[in-house]
Amino acid sequence: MKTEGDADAPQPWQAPIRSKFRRKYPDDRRYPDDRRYPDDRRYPDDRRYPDDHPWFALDHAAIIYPSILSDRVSAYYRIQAILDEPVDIALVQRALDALRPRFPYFQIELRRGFFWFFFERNDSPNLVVEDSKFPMQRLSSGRKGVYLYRVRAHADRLSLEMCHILTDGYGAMIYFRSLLAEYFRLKGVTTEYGPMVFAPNDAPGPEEWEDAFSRYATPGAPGPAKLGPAWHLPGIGLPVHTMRVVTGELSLSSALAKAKEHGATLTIYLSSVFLAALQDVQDAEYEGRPRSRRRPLRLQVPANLRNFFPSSTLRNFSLYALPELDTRLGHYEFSEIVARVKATMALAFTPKEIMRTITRNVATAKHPVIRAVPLTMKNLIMRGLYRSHGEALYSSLSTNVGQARLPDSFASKVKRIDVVLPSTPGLKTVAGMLSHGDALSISFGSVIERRDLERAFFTRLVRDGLKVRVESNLGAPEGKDA
Amino acid sequence: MPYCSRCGVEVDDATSDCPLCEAPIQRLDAPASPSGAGPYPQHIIDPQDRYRLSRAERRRIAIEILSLVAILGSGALLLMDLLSSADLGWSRYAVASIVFGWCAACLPIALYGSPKAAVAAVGAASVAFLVALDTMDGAIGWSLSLGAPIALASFAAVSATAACIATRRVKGINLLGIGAIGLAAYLVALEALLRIGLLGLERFGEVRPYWSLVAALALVPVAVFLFYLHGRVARGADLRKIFRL
Repeated sequence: MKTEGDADAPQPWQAPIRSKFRRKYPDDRRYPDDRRYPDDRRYPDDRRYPDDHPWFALDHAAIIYPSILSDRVSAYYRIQAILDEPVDIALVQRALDALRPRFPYFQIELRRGFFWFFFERNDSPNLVVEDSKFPMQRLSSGRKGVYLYRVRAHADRLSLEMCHILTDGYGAMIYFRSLLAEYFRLKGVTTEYGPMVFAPNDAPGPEEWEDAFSRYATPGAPGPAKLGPAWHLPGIGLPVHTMRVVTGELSLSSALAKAKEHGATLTIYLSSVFLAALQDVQDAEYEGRPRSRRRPLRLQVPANLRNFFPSSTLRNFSLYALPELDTRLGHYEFSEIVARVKATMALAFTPKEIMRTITRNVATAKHPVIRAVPLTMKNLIMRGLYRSHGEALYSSLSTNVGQARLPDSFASKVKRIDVVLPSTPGLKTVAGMLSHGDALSISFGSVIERRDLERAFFTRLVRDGLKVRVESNLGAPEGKDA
Repeated sequence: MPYCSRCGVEVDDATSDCPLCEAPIQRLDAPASPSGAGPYPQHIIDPQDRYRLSRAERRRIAIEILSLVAILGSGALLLMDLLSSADLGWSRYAVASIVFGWCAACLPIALYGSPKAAVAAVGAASVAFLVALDTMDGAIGWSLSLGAPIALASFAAVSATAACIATRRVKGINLLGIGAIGLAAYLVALEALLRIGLLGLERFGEVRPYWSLVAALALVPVAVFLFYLHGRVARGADLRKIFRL
């Protein structure tokens, strides 16, 4: 146990930034390094990262991402909370530092092996970063000392940008909840910890590191059915390193009531509206042309696999359903779309069906020939596979993360929580949904100039009788690049 | 709260155009929030907005300055030669050197972001420079048999070595090893080119390569030893993780 005199001794995660790292990031606008805070809310100084995982392999959902990262494909998604008062940056930094030993599987950097990418422990400081007009731009993940997540702040908005290589929405939400809990603890609001909010001074459990895909792969299980290419939104791309975020806020209780009217859950209702909006855009695009020339509309709707297979992993463990409208057959009424989405999701989200995809993914990665292919060649192959067997199969993506489930102690201090997904040149516009209290937030991330999908989606909600308030990162009156 | 009459959605007080259809928001009173206050900051952190002068602007200015210096220098040299001997003699060599220097400096700047194109352009300029020097005495001789091949081989060796070094993320004594391998390959190519240039292609097979092979055989073990020192000793590499199947 250290004495009071050691209070200012540097922690392992407070090591000075290496000069090499500093040289590579001379212009990073980070907040002042104000991390000397001797007070009664400090944790004991003897906490360290566990050394039992100095390096470890990527999970089976993550192995595709490092190969496809580029200036236009960031793979970062964002969870942001709007607080009822301006964010105290120094406290956020303290909360971030305090939380890091609890989530050692996020304190890593991405490294290249000869055959596979792997994670290696990262002891560089992780500083809160000033927010930007264009969120979720890619970090230079190939460089040493660069984390695959970052915490940003602007005015009353606290954001976590997490790379999908690290974890899915479930893991990110636990981390974000724990970060908020620690932030409010430092402000004097005590929170009861549990499975949804981790205590910073607890030890991480071994099950949190697990690659759950490997556990549930069943050798011999047949693969999923093959699908043809889906229709994709047309549109001129926005400049590189930019994206548009359009967030709509509506009443959760009203949306739930509306979903109930249609005999659907909220996820099914919103996915149906999304597909109907896609159909509207396609109808406008193909006006006067024969229906036979159309391609089917297919929407990727991810689900948390922990609901189907017991697992406490905080790494990726999610898969998706692909509800489809084959518009060559004619125009679909909304009730038909709801019925199709409901049926598709009921069929897709069963352990047996999910096992098909899990087994195919794991078996492919474990194939001896594929394992022996050098990483440079794997990257080329995976980029091609991602285009042909990934993005080509679905028109867009819509994920409903569900309720934010913030602890009561500070739930009232958070006005709204958003989840924003990054789009890609292939999908162009995608959506993420998250609710907190009675605020349901639906955010579109888009990399094309035209906004007709967002407009078709929100105007459908308005026509359905819901009151929607919309905001965007573009279009402010005196924006520099707006 | 103001709303868009076309889309039917509400918008923030500070918003002047609908985020969905970009139609102007009709309002009866002045906006309540200050102009420019939006949900996101209006500055751009990453990766743009870092320099007041963009990189393209900097490149254009650098080329302008280099061009001006080259023109003024060449003009002064030509005038001096003309004034002293009423004929262009030594100044042709000096001006050719300036032009080559201008190409070597400006081409990489102009072709920034395309290193292969830049190296190819500078290589072509080097060969052209050597041929130009050779032809100034009225006949083509050494430039085609020796000068151009050796220049091209030098460029190829330096480019390949630089490309290999650029792929290394951790840079240490492994760079010396890469340099040694590049030097070994260059020496072998140099001896072959010298023999072709001096003896001709028909007598190429008569003399066995000697000194370049001795040098290469000495350099390659040194390189392997440096790679081992770098990876295994200096960095304590875990072979299990790097070669994990």
